Amino acid sequence: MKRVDLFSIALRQALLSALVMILAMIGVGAATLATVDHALRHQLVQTIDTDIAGLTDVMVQGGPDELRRRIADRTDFAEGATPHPFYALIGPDGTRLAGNAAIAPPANAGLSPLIELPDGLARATRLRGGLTLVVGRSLAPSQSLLAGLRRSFMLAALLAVLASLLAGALSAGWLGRRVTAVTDAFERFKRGDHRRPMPATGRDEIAILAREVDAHLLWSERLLRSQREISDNIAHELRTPLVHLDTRLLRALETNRDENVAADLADARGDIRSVVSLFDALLDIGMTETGNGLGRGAVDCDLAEIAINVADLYRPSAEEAGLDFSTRIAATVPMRGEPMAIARIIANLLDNALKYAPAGSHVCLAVEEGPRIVVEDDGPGVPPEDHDRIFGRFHRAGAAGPGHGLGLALVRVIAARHGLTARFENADPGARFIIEPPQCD
Amino acid sequence: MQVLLIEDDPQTADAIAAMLAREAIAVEWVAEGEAGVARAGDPANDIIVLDWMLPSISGVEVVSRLRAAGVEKPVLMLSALGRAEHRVEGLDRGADDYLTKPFEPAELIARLRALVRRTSVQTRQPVLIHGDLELHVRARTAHRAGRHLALSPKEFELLKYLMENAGEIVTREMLLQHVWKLNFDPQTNVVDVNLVRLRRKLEDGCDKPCLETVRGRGYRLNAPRADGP
Repeated sequence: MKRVDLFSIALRQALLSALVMILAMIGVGAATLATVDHALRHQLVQTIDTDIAGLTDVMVQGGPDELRRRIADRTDFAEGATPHPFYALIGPDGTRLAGNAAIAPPANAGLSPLIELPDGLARATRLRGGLTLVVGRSLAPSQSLLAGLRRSFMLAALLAVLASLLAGALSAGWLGRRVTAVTDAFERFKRGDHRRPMPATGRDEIAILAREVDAHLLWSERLLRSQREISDNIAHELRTPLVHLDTRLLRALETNRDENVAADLADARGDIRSVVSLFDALLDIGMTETGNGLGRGAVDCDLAEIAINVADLYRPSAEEAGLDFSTRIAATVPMRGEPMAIARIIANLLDNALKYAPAGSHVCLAVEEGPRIVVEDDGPGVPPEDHDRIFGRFHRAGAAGPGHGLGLALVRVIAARHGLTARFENADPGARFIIEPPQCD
Repeated sequence: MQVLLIEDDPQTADAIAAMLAREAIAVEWVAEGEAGVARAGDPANDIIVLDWMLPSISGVEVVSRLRAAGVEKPVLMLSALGRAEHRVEGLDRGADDYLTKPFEPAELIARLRALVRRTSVQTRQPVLIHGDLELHVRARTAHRAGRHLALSPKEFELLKYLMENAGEIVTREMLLQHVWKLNFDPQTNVVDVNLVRLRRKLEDGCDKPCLETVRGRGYRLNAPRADGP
């Protein structure tokens, strides 16, 4: 099961929706606050205007003294009232004659302007006798109402963001698990664990994808199995008559007294063996190419140990052929693979070197961490036109020696099965065959 | 020695029976897996030769059943399936050896004898003695007529296997399988060259050859006697 990281689709989606949520809350909050603010002011201005109109009437009907009394009456009750009212009656010389607020009369009081104060709204008006009347209301209640609203919006926005993040994280996990189930099915298929259906209930896109993947893997598996069966059947049906033919030749060989005939019969048996071994190698290559990854034969093994063993087998032959054979093998190179198949890689590469390097050449087998296998000689090398097809089937350079021309093709497919690449390099002079993990760059 | 042969193709079965008869090995032939499982327990049969592809139950299945039933007799699988994958599977399922068709009669005989011998105690002895050859398994030293032989580790293993099968033919494939633990045929004659080297060391200073090349079949370690071959 893979970890769901920050870049998972679902998590990105959740972060995006949280961001959209924040922006939406800011927009709605700002609009609401502006509307409420506007309504409250409008209401306050109306209250102030009604009050100032009443006081103006008092002035008209009762004169300045009556006005002062009325203002005093109102200021007496101002303490308990909300919004807190304030008044000022200012004489022509600028002294306050009545009221509870110290406000300088505006120069344009004749126009009855609205005055914005830090904590209130007021209107001034010019009366008879050079008097200026200022009537106002505190803004504190509306300000605290707006502040409360703002707090509520921020809290709601915070909750919405948290909720959308939580929902996002949950759905990221859920989505991640379902997508991982699909990728795991592919991984299992690659490892050769072919059939384990996915729990694909539901009708959403991922369920459809999972069912499609399942159907496809089942189909691939059937294809692989039927190919294996067909090639096994061909192998069996082809071999049986060859076995009979071989038995007849053997019987003839036993009763025959003529040396020339005996030689021909022995050659014919040799031919049967060549056909069979060629067929085995071809089937091996074919099955390895279609098979995905390592099969049941894979174990943890030490490449160094395998290499030493194969080198021991080939050293006498190399020395008899007049080659200077050396090895450069790391102390231990642990890897996962099929030991017999890995041994075959090294054996085929050494077979190849023995076949083409003339007496007196150096041949070196190097094995190191990676895992990396290099077989190098300073023989005649490989002509450039053959570089591309050297790992192909039935490729044989020049005058072919023994073998069926599939040795290097087998090297390539076995390497591929172990997730390694096989490549050829000119060693100037000579040939260098390298088996190693694919280079990233 | 008696062999239980489980093989569905009568022609192949006849040929194998004829090969074994020539070596004075008795054969009981059954053509089918179920019958084979039933007959495998009979103490008269020392070893089982089993075809992979049988009509009702496969050879692999037969081995599994035999091992599950506690039959520990050696089993040699014969198969027309020669891919490396099959060899591994056959041996994994409990077969002791695996031989692909077509095979040399000598290869079959040699392998059968080696399998039967392997189950006997003789091969676990700490000192192997054959003629004037002496091999100390634990000390990993070998002597011929009292003279120390300077063998490489692989040459020691090679000589040990030949001595365990002294007097019998061992094939190249058997040597590859037991000494190098490899089950594929190298494209060059690497095994022979190893044998040539071992022979040189064995026979250096002695005029009596003891490691015989059996043409087209393999090698045989013969007892070098005082009165000569």
